[in-house]
Amino acid sequence: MAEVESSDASGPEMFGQDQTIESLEGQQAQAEMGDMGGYDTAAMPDEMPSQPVAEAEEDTSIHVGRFSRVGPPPPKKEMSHMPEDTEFVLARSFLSSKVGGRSFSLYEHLTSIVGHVLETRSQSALENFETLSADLKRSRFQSDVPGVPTTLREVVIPGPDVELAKKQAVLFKRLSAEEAAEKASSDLGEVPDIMDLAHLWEWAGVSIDWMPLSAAASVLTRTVYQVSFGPEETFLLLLSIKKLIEDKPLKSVRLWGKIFGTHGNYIIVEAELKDGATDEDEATANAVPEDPHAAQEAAEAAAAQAKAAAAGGGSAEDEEGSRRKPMNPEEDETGLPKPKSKTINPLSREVHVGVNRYNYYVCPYAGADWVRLPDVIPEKLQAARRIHKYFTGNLSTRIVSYPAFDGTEAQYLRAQIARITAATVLSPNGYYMVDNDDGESEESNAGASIIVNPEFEGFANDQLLNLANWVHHMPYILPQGRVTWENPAARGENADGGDDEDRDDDEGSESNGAEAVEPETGPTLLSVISADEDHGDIPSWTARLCSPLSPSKYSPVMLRSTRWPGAAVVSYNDKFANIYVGFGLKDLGSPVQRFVPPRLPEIQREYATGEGAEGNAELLLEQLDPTIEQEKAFEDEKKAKEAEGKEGGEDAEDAGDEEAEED
Amino acid sequence: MSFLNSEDVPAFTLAGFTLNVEERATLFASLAIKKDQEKLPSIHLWGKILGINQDYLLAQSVSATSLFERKYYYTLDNLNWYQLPEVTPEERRQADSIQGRFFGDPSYEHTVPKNHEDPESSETKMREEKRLAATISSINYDVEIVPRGAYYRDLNRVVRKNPSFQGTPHLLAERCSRLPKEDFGQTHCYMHFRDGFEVTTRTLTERINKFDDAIDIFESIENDEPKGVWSVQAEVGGTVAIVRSLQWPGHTFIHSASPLRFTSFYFGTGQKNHNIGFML
Repeated sequence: MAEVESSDASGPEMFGQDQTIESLEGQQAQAEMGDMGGYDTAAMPDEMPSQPVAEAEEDTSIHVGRFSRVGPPPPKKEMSHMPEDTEFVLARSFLSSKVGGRSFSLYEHLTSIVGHVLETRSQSALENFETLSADLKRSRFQSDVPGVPTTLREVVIPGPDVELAKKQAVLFKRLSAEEAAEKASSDLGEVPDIMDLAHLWEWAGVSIDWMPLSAAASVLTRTVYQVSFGPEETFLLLLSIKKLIEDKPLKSVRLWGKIFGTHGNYIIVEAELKDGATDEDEATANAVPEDPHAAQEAAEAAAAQAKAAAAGGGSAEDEEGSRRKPMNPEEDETGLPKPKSKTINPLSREVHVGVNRYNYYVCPYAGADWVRLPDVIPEKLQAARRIHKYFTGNLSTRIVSYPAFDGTEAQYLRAQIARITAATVLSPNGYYMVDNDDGESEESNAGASIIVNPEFEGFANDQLLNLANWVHHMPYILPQGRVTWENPAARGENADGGDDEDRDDDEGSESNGAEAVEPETGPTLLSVISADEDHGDIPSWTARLCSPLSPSKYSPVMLRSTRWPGAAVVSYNDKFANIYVGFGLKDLGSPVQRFVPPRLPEIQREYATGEGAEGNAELLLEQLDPTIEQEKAFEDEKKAKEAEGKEGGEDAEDAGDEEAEED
Repeated sequence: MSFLNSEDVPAFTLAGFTLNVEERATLFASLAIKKDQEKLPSIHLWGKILGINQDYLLAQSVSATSLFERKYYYTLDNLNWYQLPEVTPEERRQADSIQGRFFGDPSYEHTVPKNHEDPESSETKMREEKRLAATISSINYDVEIVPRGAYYRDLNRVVRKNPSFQGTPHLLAERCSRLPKEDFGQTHCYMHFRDGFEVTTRTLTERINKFDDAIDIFESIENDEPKGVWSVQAEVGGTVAIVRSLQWPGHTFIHSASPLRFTSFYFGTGQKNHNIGFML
């Protein structure tokens, strides 16, 4: 025991040391042996050990004398000369050895038993000795598998709320003074004051899901599982949006709304890139939709890619188009066909040439990572108009539908967002004005650019009830799926998507096979919503005072779209806010609500040759199967042809046809 | 508890809708007055149906003798509540075939299209008030749900609220961390809150491993057709479950274990989704 004390309270660790240290200890002890007598009685109690184990051992050494009356007396006299004997060192090293990879030695075990007995001062220590020993042993059980907790202790697996809290805690980090100064100097994008807007939305009966608060709950040491609702969650969302702005080169963002899925929801923000900034997410976001496609063909990946390259059709071109797009902002001037729509930002984008559309970011809950949605592809937008499906909440889900959508939910979501935005984003008449500097583009509705009217004074609340005082400030999406019309005939081979003539963006699709030569037109930008077509037998907008009891000056005004249930605009004097909270689906019509998928095409006819044979199964000629000899002969012939090198081109063509069919 | 109280309203912000300050301030006062006037045992807010010209706010009163006997009330001005008429099953069927929006005018006459199964039938008219009553009772019958175990049937075969119900297991904190993620979306924990469930061989075989005569007194929503007609989501780190009916979009059921709350609210246009088969 004496050695343990003298080795400077690092006791427990020292047990594990090898022989050289042991002997060192011995020597040290030897040197201190002189005052052994006083040590035992007087010096010890004064010493305040820092480690509990050391304490236990200390106690042991103090009280050995007392216990000696019961057990065989530990011969003090012997001890005083023991260290001189190498036998003691040997015995001790034997006791403290950890044979067979044990993590605990017998010596340590005995020490802890004695320590425990002395700590508890149990009168029945002798009776319970075996149990005590077993218990202590068990409490030290450790599994061989790393990371596995001991089986005998209660294990707390952190719940999902902890995960959530950890994610959200990132948002709570404060900046140091220097960082803050740096931030302030760099021009950060504008964070919308959604705390304020939330107040407006509440008046309209809309809530943007004031998300999980368990993070706040744990932080504020409220009952962790207590659910409460309030501005805390809005605040989290605000922080989350702030982080998005800090991370990405965004000029401004708008909380667009929320779309419910069957398994999860999307919180959506609409963001505007800074002038001249590059969007590094763009490639990844737009590549996402191709991924599942590639995964499907993973087995034949290389071959498939080669095929696609050879085919040069469908998907490959879409992809190409969407990638090329940002490089080529003046595509309208050149009139060159691009199978790519642009969601033009009418605000100041046209003034500064550059990226001129909104990006959309989604996340499932405040604090989660924001994911950038891919850009709209006109064909996908057209397809989205033809289907009527719930979202699932998982962006990578492939949409299974008739008529086929052929894409992931990310694309479907983006298309629906574009449609909803174009149809339901409103501003008071006069808030925006057409920017006359851009004279040339005024003619086409998409080309016109609008700026905030500095002289706009706002309407009184009761005037806002009048639908004539509201205008669309997002460009109308043409049936083509684009904002600016482009001649599909000039587009060449891929006229497939272009000549679908949905005459009305909002009225679903009617496709006639005719070539679209006449440019599609739609309502111009800033057209008044009272001019919107009625939705069946009902008006397309309903306006209401949120609080009929308050003086109209204090009552916000709400407009709801009947065509897109869930879309609402709330305004309060000079403030207004657009929001969408819903399933992301268009109303199917009034008064009859029926989704009628297009009829299945007629069954293809049997292929037959000869006059009048088409479609007539009886005239089909039955062929004999080739014999093995014939097949072999054919193979040989083929090889011979290949050798001539003529076969290559044809093969590629075949491959191309196959690919086209698959699409 | 299963019926909405004023303190449950803020919970529905999670589900994307809420009542505004004015409605919260006025409705519960006017409901209390109505309850006193009609000597009702209870009256609870039921939902809001968005009309073209005006919105209906709806309330229900549960009879003292049976949980499934209800009276329905509507208001357009948040103050005066009017009772909705009783509807016959035939009227309910007719109302089901009207698909347009509500107008917010109780005396508006909707056109009931011809019944295709009965060639002799002709187009008829139905007052919006009637349609409203039929819609509410259909919604209540189709999609009113409670968690399994929230109600039990005593020896006299009377359905009672279970005072020892603590919340659906997957919401209870200590369990929720151990369940795999997929288990959150379990529909077998929720049951149709409606009369007329009888134990049959089918229901027995379905629940053979966990059948409890006292609490398995309703049809589970698990087998509702089409599959996926219910959207069950875990919110707030898995401590709140939100169950949305896609058959009657707008019907939202919310359930949390602490504080124990299970209640539903309807906030929508009052139109049934007839196209659900295409949408999942």
